[in-house]
Parts: sequence; C-alpha cells; structure tokens
Amino acid sequence: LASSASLLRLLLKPRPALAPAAARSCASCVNFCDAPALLESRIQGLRSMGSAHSSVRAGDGICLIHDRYLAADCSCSSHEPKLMSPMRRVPTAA
Amino acid sequence: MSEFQTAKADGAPVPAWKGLFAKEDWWAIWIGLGLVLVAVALFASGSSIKWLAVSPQKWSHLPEAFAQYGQHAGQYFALFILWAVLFGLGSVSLGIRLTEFLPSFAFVFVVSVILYFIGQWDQASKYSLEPPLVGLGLGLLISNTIPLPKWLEAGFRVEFYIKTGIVLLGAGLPFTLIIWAGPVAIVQAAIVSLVTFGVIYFVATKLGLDRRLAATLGTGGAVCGVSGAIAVAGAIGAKKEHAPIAITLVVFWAVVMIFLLPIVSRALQLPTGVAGAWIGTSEFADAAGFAAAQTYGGYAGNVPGISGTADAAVNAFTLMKVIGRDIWIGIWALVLSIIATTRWESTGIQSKTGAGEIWRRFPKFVIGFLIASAIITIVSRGYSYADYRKSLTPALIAPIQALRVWAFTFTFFSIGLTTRIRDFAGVGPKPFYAFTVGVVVNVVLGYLLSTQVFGSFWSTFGQ
Repeated sequence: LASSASLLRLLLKPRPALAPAAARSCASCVNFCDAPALLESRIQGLRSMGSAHSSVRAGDGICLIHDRYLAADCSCSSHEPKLMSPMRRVPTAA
Repeated sequence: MSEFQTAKADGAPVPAWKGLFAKEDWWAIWIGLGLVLVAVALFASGSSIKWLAVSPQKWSHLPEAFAQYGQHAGQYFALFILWAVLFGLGSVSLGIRLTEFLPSFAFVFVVSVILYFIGQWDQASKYSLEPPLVGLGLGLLISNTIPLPKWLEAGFRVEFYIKTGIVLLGAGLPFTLIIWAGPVAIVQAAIVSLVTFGVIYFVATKLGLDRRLAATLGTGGAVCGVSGAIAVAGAIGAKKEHAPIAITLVVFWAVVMIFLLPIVSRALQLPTGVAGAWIGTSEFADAAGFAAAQTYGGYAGNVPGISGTADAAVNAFTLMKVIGRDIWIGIWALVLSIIATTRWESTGIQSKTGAGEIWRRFPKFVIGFLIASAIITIVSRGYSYADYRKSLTPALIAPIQALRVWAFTFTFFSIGLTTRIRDFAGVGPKPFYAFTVGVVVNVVLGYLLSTQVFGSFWSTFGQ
C-alpha cells in the first residue's frame, strides 16, 4: 500500500511543461549559469569594458558540466531540466 | 532564440516586448532617444533643455570655478536627479538593486562634476588634465588601493553609460556624414580587422594554443574588444577560462592605448580627424577609445600645431569603431561558429548555428545612434548654415552634446573603478605574446591607413 501511495504521489507530482524547442537546450539546464551578475563576478574584466547585460552576449552562459562558455541554444546528453531537479546547482554571484 | 523570442528557464516563451527591456543596449536606446525627442519637442515649442544640460565653462582661478558652481548648483542637482532616474530605471530592469545603484551612482556623479570642472581649467591641457585621463587615473587609484564594498560597485556601469553616450552622440553627427564617410571607415576597419585577427590566430596556434582560445583572442583584438571576445567565446563554445584570458588582455592593452595613442598623435601633430580614425582602428574597446579620442579632441585649439576640431576626433573614432568594427560582430560570430562546428575538434555539445546569430549578437545601441542622427538631420533640414549655427546649435545640438559628455565622463571614471591591475598577472605568457604581436601589427597598420592611404580623407573630415 505504501509503495502504491508513493507511486501515486510521484505520478501526481506537478512537472514543468517544457516547450519542445527549448526543452533540451542549455537555457533550461540546471548546470547552465547565465545570470549576468554571476557571469560578471566569474569572468574577470568583463565589467571593465564590457557587460553581461549587453546584446552581444545574447543568452550565453557557463556550463558546469563541460566547463565551457556556451550559447543558450546548445544542447548535450547531460541535460538536466532546471525545475525538475531537487535543488539548483547553479552557484550564486555572492 | 532571439532577443524577441527568448525562453524562460523551463522553456516557456517570454513575451516579445520584454526583450526590449532585457538588455542595456535597449535601455541605452530608450534613454538616449528619449532625451533627443524631448529636446526636439522643446525646441519645436520655442524652448530648450539647455537649463537641464548644464556643464562647466572655462575658468582660470579656483574661486571662479566655485562661484560658477554656486550659481548653477540647482541645475547640477536637477541633472543628477535626471540621470539617477533614467539609469536607475534601466538598472532595476536589469536586476540591479536600486538601493545599491543610487548611492554608487551619486558617488560617480559627484566625482564626474569635479572631473568636468578640472577639464575646463584653462591650463588643463598644459598639465594633461583632460577629464578622461584624470577620471581613468583616479578610478584606477581608488579601485586598486582602497577595498571598495561590493554594493558600491552597482553604479560602475561602463557599458551602460558609453552606449547611452553613443546614442546621444548620434544627434551631433549628420546622417549624410555617416553615409559619406561610413564606407571609408568600413573598408579601413575591415582591412585592419582581418589582418589583426589573422596575425593573432596564426601566432596563437603556432604557439600551441587551443584554436578556440586563438579565435577568442583574435576577435577581442580585431573586432570590438571585450564584446567581441565574449560574443565569439559563446558562439564557438570556448572553454570557460578562454574569455577571461582574452578580456584581460583586451583591457590591459586598451588602458595602455588610452594614454599611448593620444601621446604619440600629439607628438606627430596629427590632425584630429586622422588621430580619431587611428584610435578607432587601433583601440580595443569603445569606452577606452572614446577616452583617447576625447582626450585628443581636447587638444584642438589648445595645443599648437594640432589642426581640426574636437568633434572631428570623436566623430572619426565613432565611425571607425562603431560602424567599421562593432556592427560586424554577429557575422564574425556566425562564421567562426560554423568553422568551429565543422572544422575543429568536437566538444560533445550540439550547437545551433544559423543566420539568426547575426541579429542576436548585433549591438542594438547602434540602431539608436543611427536614429538619433536621422532625427536631427530631419529637424535641421531647411536651415541655412548660419541659421543652424545661430539657433539650432545653442538650443538643441549643444545641450544634447553636453549630456553626451556627462555620460562619457561617468564612463571614464567607471573604467578606472572596475579595472583591477592584479588581474593582468593571471594571463599566461603565450596568450600575451600572441595578442601583443597582433597589437603591434594593428597599431602600425592603423597608423599607415589613417595617415597615408586614407590620410587626405581623414585630415579634412568634418570641416
């Protein structure tokens, strides 16, 4: 009975509705850091004569899995949706 | 995705209009064009924004400067409120806390007032006390000797200020001049960009550096500095340490060039238009280039032997850097991302390379710059040159340009405040050598093109 209840809870657990095109992209991955404040703290010199808020950056960010600076519409087999993860791994700027 | 069709973290689409307030490029357009339109509306109704666009006048003795400030203290306060509201709105929209931005901006504004007054001293040129150089030097001194609290950095928004200033600058540049001189700037900049990129990429790969790092270094040196490096690093999927290396080198050489290019140009007594074109070809960042160009423009009429106007230096620089180099970043990113995907080693990551890259990475503030130029060109249509000088310049053009100088002054001080000299030590020798070879080629080629190949064009530019 207990296992049936936990199965039911799992089935009824609300999940985010993912748009097909963006569902697997880096933008929706928990391992992708694209917050401007975070990028400006991680990429030294960026604030000096550039900005993480500029158009040229588009939605690029840092991938914690591949250790690369990537466009937001990239994808890979390690994709892990943000809202489905129990906790966010993305570090904060502070 | 584009700025109009972006997505939330869960993949759900974001409304298109939100994209127009999500980047500082768009905020620079709204602020800059908003000010231009208000100025035009007031001018059309027989009034002017010149009360608000207050700026210090020439003075000889310190009591004169204090008296001048005392007479206009209310106007300076109103100007502070104007900028604080406009930049504050933009900053909040970008996710910066207003409680942190406002005190920080107040600090930037107060120091900028002092810098502007220093620049208006009639002996300032004699002692090289131009506001860009003093602002940069003071900012460097403060940020590298005094540990500033984190919250105080919220108002040091170099790019936000410079982009707003560039949009305002468009109002002082006739659209016909952009059409006339733009192609020359594009040809000259294209030659230098391609050669510089090729040299840096070649030397970097010969030294054994990763091709993605070589490309990021090359674009940082050849196209648009920090913006070029960050845009291409993302487009080609560079390692996360590549962009900081390229950006650090760009900032280092950009700071060196702020001082070096005006000094050498002054020694060679280059006309202001020629020096502006050279700075536009050989500086690495917009903000740094404006500091150098405005410094050199300040020599016109103050230093014997330097012909041309102050505006010619800034305008030639703008055409060369913004029209000749900046607007092509999307194409560079697209081409390099295709090469990275098809020719270089796989990273295990799938990227969607497409023509949308060009618009996605287009520096949108340039649109505001062009619209501002078109607006003023239309407004001034039908005026004779004498009438233009008599009525349009003092009531409309000059106040907008005064606001532009304020935005630039905030920029110059903020560059110093955000540049950490200790960061320069973290770059390895190989990237430094590769980038430095490119710098030498860039500066020499830029000089030859500006003074020899296109010298006659730039020496009469703006006259």
